[in-house]
Amino acid sequence: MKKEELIASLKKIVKPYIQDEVAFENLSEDTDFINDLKINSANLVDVILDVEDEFNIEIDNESMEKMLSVRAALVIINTKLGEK
Amino acid sequence: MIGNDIVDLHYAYQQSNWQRDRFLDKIFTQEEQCLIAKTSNKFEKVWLLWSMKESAYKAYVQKYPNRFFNPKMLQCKLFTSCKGQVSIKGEQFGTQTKRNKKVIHTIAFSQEENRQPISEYFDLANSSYPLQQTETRRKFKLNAEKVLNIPAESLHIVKSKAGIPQLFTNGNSLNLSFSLTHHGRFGAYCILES
Repeated sequence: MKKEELIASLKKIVKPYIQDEVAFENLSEDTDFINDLKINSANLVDVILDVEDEFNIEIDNESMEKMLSVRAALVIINTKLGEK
Repeated sequence: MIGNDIVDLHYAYQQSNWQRDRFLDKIFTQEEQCLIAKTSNKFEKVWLLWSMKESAYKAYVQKYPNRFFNPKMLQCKLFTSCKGQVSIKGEQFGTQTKRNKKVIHTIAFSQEENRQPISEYFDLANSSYPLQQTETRRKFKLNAEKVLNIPAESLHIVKSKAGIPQLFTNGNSLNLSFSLTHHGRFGAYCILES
């Protein structure tokens, strides 16, 4: 999947949980889920579950450990999609 | 090292669905899931254990400033309804929780810590993020003023790359172990007196 498409899907997934509209509007690979979008850490679990559902992948704990930014999420999603 | 975490139970009820498929499995060990299964108020137990993990994580990253997200790796034990322990990569953190029907507030400290923590939680006028942050910082600075004997207006909080808040005055870093938290319509802080 193209990077732009992935970012667009990810943007749709995080939307219900963000607490900073400006950072959300300017979402890029460098965006941090917690520091920039101010997503509650409890809701980060929802983001991970939503990503699993959307892409039909399983994110193991080791991968989840790094999933704090858009960039890290893209790497994980691509890796898991590649394994399918 | 000290960390704290607050959960606004009404807000958690609205914003998070703990009964969602795979939710518990992503966060809690088998042992913790048994603790949840055994109690009548599962919702409250989920958020009690969550606040223990989150507060211990905050204390842990002060010591090892590398962020990670792996709640299942933080393992909780409960000794009483309000006292517990969280193990993170071989390090133990003691936890103390205050709770009522509206809120759960946990503080966590490294085991070798013998200083007495000061902590406080409070209501916020609304749950908007800027207000939560401003008000929590303001309340914390008022207490830090007493502890450090430095006026609150000259205390500044800067977050490090690892997301850890640090206190400065006139550009100089102050060596104070503290932690801030807010969720929904509640905020809290804790400070270790030097």
